[in-house]
Amino acid sequence: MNCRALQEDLWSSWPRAEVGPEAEAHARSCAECARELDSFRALCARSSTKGGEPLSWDKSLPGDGRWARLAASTRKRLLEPARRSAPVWAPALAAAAAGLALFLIARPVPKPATDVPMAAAEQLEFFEHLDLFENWDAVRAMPGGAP
Amino acid sequence: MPVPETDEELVRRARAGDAEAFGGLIERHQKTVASFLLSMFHDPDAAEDAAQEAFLKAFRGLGRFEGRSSFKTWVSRIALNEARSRLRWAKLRSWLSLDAPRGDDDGSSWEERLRSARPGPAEDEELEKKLDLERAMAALSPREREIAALRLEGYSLGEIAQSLEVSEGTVKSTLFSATHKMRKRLS
Repeated sequence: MNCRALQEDLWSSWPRAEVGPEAEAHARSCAECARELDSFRALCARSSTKGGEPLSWDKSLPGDGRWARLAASTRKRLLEPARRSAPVWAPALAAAAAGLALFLIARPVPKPATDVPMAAAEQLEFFEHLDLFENWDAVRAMPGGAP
Repeated sequence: MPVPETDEELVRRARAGDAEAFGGLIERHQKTVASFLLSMFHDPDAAEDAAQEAFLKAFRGLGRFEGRSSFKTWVSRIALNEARSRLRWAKLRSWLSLDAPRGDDDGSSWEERLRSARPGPAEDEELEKKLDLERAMAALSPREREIAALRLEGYSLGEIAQSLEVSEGTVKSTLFSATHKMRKRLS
């Protein structure tokens, strides 16, 4: 067994201080791995009960029947019709609404349409420059002009 | 003495509409699920509520359980997703200042609540050891903390890999970095 294999095996068995005989033998001949082994055992000791079991919440919380109450309450809810769960979708909805509002505010506003019919534009121009047509003879000479 | 039914048998009966059989699965696994959620929430009520919701979701979604993994790892995956959603939501709420700030990873209120619930000095030592460990776990990334919490609740490397939908190699390397950070923090 080499140092790398020993260390990988060692730490993946945390929090159980399980060390194989091969690893023990290697650590006896390698100072670095011996230190690693000590460090591993120290962390395992801090992560386990006096009996050597992993320090789960079940082992460290007082046995006041909390789990039995939780199981009974869940069993009861199983038989109820489905309830609306916590609104975990609400943040996504709020973000989407904010995004839409930003888009509506910041989007480029289209210019008003300018495609006025050509005939109407010509008529408007004619009346705006009526003073140019003081020469009524010329007006009369226009096709469809005054009689 | 009757032989206890396996998870597979209970799942089969529950899929056929037997809520009592699902109750058996709750008795068997909910404690473990609520326990690792406690390391994520640091709030016993929030952990129990999320564990309950996870089992209700599992019951409603039992038709989608294909049996490729064990029931335990399937329901653990649902619970982890539930916890992540709730934690994200809580983070957003606190960011928007909708919730009053509460004591969290740095210790304070949740530790006091747990201490006040202990019945006697016999439990003191284990609880204080556990709280030390939880403080060391506060230095871990969310993924490292999930893996460490599952490991402390007795999950095997394979069960963790299935619950998180990652390879066993990823679990091993994450555990390696997590334990090194914890070791540094505890020394």
